[in-house]
Amino acid sequence: MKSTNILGLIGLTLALASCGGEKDGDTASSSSAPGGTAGGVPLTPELPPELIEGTPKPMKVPNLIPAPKAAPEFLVPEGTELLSAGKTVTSSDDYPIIGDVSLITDGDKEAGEGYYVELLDGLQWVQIDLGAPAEVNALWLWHFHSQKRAYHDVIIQISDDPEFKEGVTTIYNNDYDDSAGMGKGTDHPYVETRFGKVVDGKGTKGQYVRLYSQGNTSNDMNHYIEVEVYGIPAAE
Amino acid sequence: MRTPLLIACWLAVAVLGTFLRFDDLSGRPFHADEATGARITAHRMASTGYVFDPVHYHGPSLSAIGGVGARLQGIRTWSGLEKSTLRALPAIAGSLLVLVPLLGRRRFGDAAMLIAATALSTSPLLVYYSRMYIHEILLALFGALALFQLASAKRWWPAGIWIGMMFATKETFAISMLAWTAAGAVLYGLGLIRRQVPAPQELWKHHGRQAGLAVGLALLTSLAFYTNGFTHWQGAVDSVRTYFVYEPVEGHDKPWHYYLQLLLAPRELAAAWWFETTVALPALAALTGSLCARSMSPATRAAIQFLALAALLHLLIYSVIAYKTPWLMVLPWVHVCLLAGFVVTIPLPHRFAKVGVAAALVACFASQFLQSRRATGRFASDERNPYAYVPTSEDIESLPAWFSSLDEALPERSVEPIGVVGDDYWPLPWYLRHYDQVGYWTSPPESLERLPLVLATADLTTVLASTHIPVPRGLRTDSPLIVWVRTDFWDASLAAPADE
Repeated sequence: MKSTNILGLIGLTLALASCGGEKDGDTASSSSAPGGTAGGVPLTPELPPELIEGTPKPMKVPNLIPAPKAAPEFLVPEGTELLSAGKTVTSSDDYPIIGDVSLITDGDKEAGEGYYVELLDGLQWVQIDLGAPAEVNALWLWHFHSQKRAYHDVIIQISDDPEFKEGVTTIYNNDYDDSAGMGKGTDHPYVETRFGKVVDGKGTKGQYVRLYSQGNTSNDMNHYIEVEVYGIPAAE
Repeated sequence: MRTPLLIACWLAVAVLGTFLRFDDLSGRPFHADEATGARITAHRMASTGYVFDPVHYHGPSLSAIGGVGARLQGIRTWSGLEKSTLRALPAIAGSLLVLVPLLGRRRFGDAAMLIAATALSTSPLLVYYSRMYIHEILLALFGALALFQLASAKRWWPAGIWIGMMFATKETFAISMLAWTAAGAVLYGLGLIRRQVPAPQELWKHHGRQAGLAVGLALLTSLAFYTNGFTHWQGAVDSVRTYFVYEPVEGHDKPWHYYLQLLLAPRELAAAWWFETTVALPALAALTGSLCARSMSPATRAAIQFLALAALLHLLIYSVIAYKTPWLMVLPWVHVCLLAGFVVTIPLPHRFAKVGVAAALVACFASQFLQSRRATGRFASDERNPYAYVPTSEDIESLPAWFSSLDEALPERSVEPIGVVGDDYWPLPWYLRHYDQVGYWTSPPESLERLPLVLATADLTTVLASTHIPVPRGLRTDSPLIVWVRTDFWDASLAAPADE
């Protein structure tokens, strides 16, 4: 039932060997693109069709990309400390569906009920007030890791302006299609794990850290379990 | 009840039911089963013609009627189909289902039938599956029509048409036949003991001819669909073979009490309460009333007890079968909704009791309405919605637009052919239907790295890591998909100016 369609395979091989996905009339090539016959004509191969089957299994899938086996190692300047523990958190959603934004800086990183906050669908943000300006060297982030899901448009900014209108530095942006409307980012999207995501703070100075997201691969909601901001308090 | 008020009540119930079924019908992402149903419909509309696969297909009525609906809107191709076009069919069927109790007005009274219609109209289970292009709500509509026709004492033979339509819709109609026959047999047996019903010979004398006519009509109707208008006789053979060769997908086995939990046990999920217990309670009260109240008419008493027994037998049979999905409860739950309507036939001692029952029913339907809105609104495709079974991720809706932007970012090349590698990829074919060249493989074929876009439900890191960028996207809840974007398209996309 699920065996590969031989005709389709032959067709695909023909297609790939000939045009490499070039549009009609295209003769350009580049080192990153597969080759093709310059001036050739496009083939229209027969590809294996989809197979009609029953309701898909309601179960977790295996890893689609290799999952990390350990927390990433990240080096920071000496004197760097955890600045965000217990600090005030605000968000774009005044009434979270589940939990409370204070969970984001409470130190608990489990994924179960009572450990995460769920914000509304669409582009949402949470903001941590570090209490005083600091030099941010790293940020460690856990959205929701009991499922293999990736959060969209993860954008992390630092500023001294609580409104984030002036002096804003973006330290991470994986919005590859600008769906958040804040500019495209070149950071790669990632699948959540219990090891979280560590982001280089690059010594950026600021008192406020704002994290955006816009739904995830399972649903439209936005979740946060914990955010840890590491840095060195600015000199008085 | 005065006629203008009566008409207003029926209109209100019809409007309520129609609103719940049609509002934002296209909003929810296409479910995997809707996508396969759409593909089958498109195959029938195409020149490739009619095929009935007894191993994987349910009955042909959905694709037959769905195809007619699409053609009426001028759509004749797979790529031309839209969610709203296809979902209009179950939404219409679900809206008609709400009005089926109209057929019982004379026999059972307006009040009982209005309450039953309101229960059908607002039930979150029925509303949810009236907005989904699968077979269940059609089965429920034909089942309800058959029930009311059977309840018509004199001329019940047209029920054969509706039973034939049930057979043409889904093979599980056999479970309903079993439950109805057993319920009827038990009640008839009890009637014989109490000497309240005619003897079998007498019964056959009065109803034998109608029974033969009904069976003939059922066969003729179902044959018309399975043979595609008596042109494909293998379909007739396959309609029986399907009971022996149908292959349900593994992974849907659940404990025996799954349906009880689904419908009767109130649960708090996503900070909201989900339950349909409020309809089960009046249904239970109606059954109790039929056993205790002496002033109830024999027809009403028989209808209540038949519905209760049939619902219970449906529940028992479906609970015994390990394979369980929430939509299998649609037709059994129609029985419960109809039964709930009969709560008003219980004689009540004084006015306060009547006011109390009325207030409880209003609260019940208000709760159902709110749950229906929630189930089909914000949580329409959220795994925490008990009716959203293996839901498709909302994320998938923006996939075609993203692919278009990738295509535009590198005008000299095309993103086709697109590869899909792995198992359980539905409803992807629906979202890729506008592309001519899409290949589906269970394992990576040779030269896969040359494809601009590869959508994988398997780990292709060793094959594509050096040529493509992996981008996690949603397919279904808990089932992400990795879209591997070839680096030339990825780089061009990032370099392209953002849309204003």
